[in-house]
Amino acid sequence: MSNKRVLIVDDQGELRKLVRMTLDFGDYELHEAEDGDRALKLANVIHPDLVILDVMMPGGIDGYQVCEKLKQRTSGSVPYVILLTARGQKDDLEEGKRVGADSYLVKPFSPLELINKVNSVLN
Amino acid sequence: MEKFKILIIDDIKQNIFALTTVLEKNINFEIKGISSAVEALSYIDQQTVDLILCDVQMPNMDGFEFVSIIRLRKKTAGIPVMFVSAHHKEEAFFKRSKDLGTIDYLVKPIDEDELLHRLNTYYTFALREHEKTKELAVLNSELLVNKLFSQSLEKKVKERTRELNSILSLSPDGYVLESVDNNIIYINPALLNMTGFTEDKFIGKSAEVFSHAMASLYNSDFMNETNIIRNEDCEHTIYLSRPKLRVINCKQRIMYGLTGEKEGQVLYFRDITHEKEIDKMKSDFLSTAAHELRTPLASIYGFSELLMNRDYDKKTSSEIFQTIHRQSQNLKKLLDELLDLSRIEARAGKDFYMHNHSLEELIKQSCDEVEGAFKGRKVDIQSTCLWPIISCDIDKIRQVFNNLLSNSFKYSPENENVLLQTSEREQNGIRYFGISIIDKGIGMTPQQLSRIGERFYRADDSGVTPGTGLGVSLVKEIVLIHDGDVEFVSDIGAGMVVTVWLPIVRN
Repeated sequence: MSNKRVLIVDDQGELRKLVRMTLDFGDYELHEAEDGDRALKLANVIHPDLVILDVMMPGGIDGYQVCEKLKQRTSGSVPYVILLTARGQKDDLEEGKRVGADSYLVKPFSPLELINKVNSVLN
Repeated sequence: MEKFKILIIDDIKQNIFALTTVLEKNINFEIKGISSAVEALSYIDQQTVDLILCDVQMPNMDGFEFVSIIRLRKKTAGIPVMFVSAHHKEEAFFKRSKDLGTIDYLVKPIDEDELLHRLNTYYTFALREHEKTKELAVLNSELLVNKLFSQSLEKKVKERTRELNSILSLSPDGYVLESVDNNIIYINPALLNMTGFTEDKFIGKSAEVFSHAMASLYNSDFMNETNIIRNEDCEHTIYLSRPKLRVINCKQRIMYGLTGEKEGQVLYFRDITHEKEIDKMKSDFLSTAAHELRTPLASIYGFSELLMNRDYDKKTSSEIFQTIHRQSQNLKKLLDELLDLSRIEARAGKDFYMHNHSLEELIKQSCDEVEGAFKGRKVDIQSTCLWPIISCDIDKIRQVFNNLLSNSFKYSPENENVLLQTSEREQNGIRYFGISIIDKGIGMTPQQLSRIGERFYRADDSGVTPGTGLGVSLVKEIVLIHDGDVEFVSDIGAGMVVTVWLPIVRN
């Protein structure tokens, strides 16, 4: 059985590096994208099992829209989505729910919590 | 009334004595006797006398002559006179006496009781007259006071009305006054301006007509009800879509008269569009600031947790430490700039220490500092103008040039120097010195250029180039407080020219 694929989407290089280092112990195949457009394109190619998705990203398309598009896909499997949000306010959480996100973490987040979440989703 | 003063004039002193003895029986009488009419004239000129008993036949000046004279003078004309005569009993004398307006003509020998009785009666009348005059005087003065009072009241009312009218017409807030029978009686210019209404359309019309007209301006996205005028004190927010988008705070107050009955209603309209915008900007700013603070914090928090829970080799853990340190610096810089910015905004330059400085010295210090931070790179200063003296807060202006020069280095290729040129211009009679910082960097698109100086706006948001997105905001704020200006010229790939204009004190 091949490794589960995880797509890390964040505009901040150091945040991607943090998530990568957190999950990088051989169990998962890790991919990165730095904006919404690239994330969607890459998702079409690699068909990730899980997308860890930053909400606030520059460029035309933010995390909510990426999530909505990923969840609407008809071909292939629909990935599990964990939103990384800088805000934990009610409005943001509701918006996350509306676009079909499965879970969320508020920045700053605990890497150990992230591993637990990822492990429980993918195993 | 004080004592009733009676003056007896008689050339024979025994007569005076006799009469005084009789009259003294009434204790209210104060008697004075004078034996010459001439002397009596000067006496009554200085003293007040209530009644004169005057002998007719006297040497030098007789009684008739005396009375004729006192009748001519204003002060003495009204004094009642009684003649007392021994000799002249003829009809002609009585007549002459009457013509002079005397009140009595007594013939000697005098019946003492009769004289006393007459004088007592006269005194009683005089007393009554005096009381009446006094009452009248009081009444008169009261009337006068009342009249003055009502005149001053009227004047005050006029003044207040004038004051109120000018206040209402100058007020930036809208006022509408409604009469007790719900007719519009006044609309001030501010409300007409707010709504685009004309006054004559509503004066004298019912409040319903006005309410209906207001409803035609409502923004239906926010307004469900159309009738805003109620018969009670209330307050609500009105959203207009015409003549332009506005948010208005509307207050209604019933006016009551002295006895508590309703006298009308005031409608008050305050345009709070701008306040709402500022509120929104503030809360946007806060949430963006919080977001920006969380980003470096997420790195610090996450990487340190990894370090505590896992074993990394020396090289990796050193990298992680560097990341944590770098992000802590970012966090510190962000906090510093946020505080600077909010302090400058709140104090509006009140804590700036303005002194005259040589701009050349200041620029050279800034160049040295920035060149130190970007090792091996230089700022080429090309100045054809005479450097001026400017009035500035030296630390703040140094911060301006440090920020701008660092940006130029950050966004241009490693091997490129930054150029600094100077120029002069005059605007509205003020001479400005221009310092242009020119780089050959990545430049900006027109869209990026239009957002420059916006809080947290970063043209390059990839995280490759360190920065907070507050540097240029700070530059703009500081230069504005120095009555200067900042201009940005750029195009994508064409580098950037930033020019700071500062007023010249002298060259």
